[in-house]
Amino acid sequence: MEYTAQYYRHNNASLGRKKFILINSILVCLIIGLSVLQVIILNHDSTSGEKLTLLNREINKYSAEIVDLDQEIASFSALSSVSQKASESGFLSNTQLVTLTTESPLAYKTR
Amino acid sequence: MHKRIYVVFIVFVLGFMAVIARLFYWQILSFDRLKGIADDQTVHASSIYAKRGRIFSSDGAAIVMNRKGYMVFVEKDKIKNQTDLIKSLSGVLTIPESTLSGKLSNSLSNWTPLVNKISEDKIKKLESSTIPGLGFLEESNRYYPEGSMAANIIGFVGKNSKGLDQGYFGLEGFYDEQLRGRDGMIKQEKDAIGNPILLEKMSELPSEDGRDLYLTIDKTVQYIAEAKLKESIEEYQAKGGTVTIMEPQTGAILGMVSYPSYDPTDYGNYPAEFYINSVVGSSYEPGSTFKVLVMAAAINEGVLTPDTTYNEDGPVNIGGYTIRTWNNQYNGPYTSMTDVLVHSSNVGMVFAQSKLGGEKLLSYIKNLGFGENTDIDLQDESSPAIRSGREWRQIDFATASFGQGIAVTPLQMVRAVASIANGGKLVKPYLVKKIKLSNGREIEMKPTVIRTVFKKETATKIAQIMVHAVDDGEAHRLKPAGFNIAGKTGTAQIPIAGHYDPTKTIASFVGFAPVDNPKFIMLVTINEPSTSQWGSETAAPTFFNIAKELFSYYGISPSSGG
Repeated sequence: MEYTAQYYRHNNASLGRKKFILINSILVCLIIGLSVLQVIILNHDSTSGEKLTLLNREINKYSAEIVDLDQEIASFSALSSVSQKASESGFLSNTQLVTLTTESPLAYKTR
Repeated sequence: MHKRIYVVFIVFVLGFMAVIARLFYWQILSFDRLKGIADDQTVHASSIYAKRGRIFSSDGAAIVMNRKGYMVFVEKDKIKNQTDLIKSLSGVLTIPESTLSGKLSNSLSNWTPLVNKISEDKIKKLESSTIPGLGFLEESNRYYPEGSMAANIIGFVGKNSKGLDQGYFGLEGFYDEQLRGRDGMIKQEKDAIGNPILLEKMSELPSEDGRDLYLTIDKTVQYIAEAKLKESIEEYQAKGGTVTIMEPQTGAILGMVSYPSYDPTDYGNYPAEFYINSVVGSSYEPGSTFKVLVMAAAINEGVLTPDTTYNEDGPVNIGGYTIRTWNNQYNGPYTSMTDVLVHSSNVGMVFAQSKLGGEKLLSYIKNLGFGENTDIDLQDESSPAIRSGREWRQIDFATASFGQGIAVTPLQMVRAVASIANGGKLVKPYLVKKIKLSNGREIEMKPTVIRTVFKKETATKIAQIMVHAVDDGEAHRLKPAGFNIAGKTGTAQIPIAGHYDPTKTIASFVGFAPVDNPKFIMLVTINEPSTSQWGSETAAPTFFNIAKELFSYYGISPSSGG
């Protein structure tokens, strides 16, 4: 009986120590793992700033291109430009108004 | 032995205390100051500039846009040869050397801004010559795809006393706050080479771009009016002129031309008086075009009808002044009020005014909006004052009946006559029909009727008399055949130093078409024409030339006009 109680006490102490070591090991691994992850993320993000700058430059470049194209469209569709091109191509402004004031009958009645 | 250990211990403790004290000083006492210094080195604040709002014509085509421009500056301490620098700049920028030299010598600071709004092409030329001390800063610039079209309506963007963009004259001046928008700010930590550090905090106050304006101006109508007015001014060797085209039912302005005009990209090289839009900022005596309003008042009051007759047997004498007809010819007895307007008789108008009475005439003048601003959305509007009732003598009422001794702006005149075209309503003229916010929301502008001045029957009767005035008056040969146009010519002498100069006139023609359902009302004024002083020989042909094009553009056929 006394042997059994002593055995259990010893066994419990050994189990407690093992648990303690296990938890500590997990915590240490977690700390090391998270630290490594932080280093990786920091490294990654420290170079992403450069990528962001490049992306911003691209956005600005394309925005400027859109503005330039808008201007080109507006210039080509300007009335003064259209009118000049039309006259260069031989078109003339026709101010003669041609209108039908009354409807023509289908057939004129004759005797 | 123990003693030595204690000494070492105390030295360590003191050492640690010194470190703790220093850290306390840095981290607690000097925290704010050191953080500020650190932030200055790493946190970069940059402005996000709001884009100025664009301006579109009624068909949605841009007439004012933004493009990249540059400000040219110099750093005086880096200049090697000032004379060479000024010569190079003057050549490329086409600015006199004396102007540049004056700017440099008057500036007290090392960094001196020289010129703004310089195009990219010119900057490329300057960059290629690598002048020491010269620098460029990017800024926004206005771009006008239609060139100087509608310059007097739009206005221009210049710099205010703080060196910031500000709109002057026209729509740019009137809607400056709305067009300007609000600049934003971004604060971000950056590393040594200027790349943003993403893990650090970033604060941003977003910018709000300026609002876009959508006008009632139809760019085709504007183009036609500008081209025809320019042709006429050259043909009649006139000093200037205006064309105002409005939708009579709503007050929406379809076209507005003031000549001489200017190029808004190069406004600095034009005299300041060219910036004024004469349609709203200059006054003139309307002459015979005013007769239709006085006659409308008399018919509206029931004191006359178009068929009322009187005996036109010669000049009339009012308060010691003799009033004659323009050609000194008189139609005798049974001259009707229709004849008075058709033949533009001053004597007949004196008769009509005597029937109406002075007080009634004054009340109609005020009700028709003369003597006060029309409140159009343009910065440069001003109105000539109308004398108070006590200052009016009998001769003043008599001359006012045929449009002399009373000053109006072309816009006031076209609005008043529009009340005949639209059945008697005085409308508020406007240029912006829609404002578009940067978030996409739109604010629509609604037409406004201020008051009813004439009965509908009166308006119809006067419109018919005006049709006769076109068909049987001095300008009848110019009228496009088959169209029903109501109109009236006017020739007013220009008052100079208390008397009228007989050689200088402002010729005008006001009219609307088609009479049954007017699509437009138009007033043409020609300032001091040399080839002929008469409205029927200068303003009327210009009116009909523009009207012909408008009939074609709007698809108005003679049959629809009646």
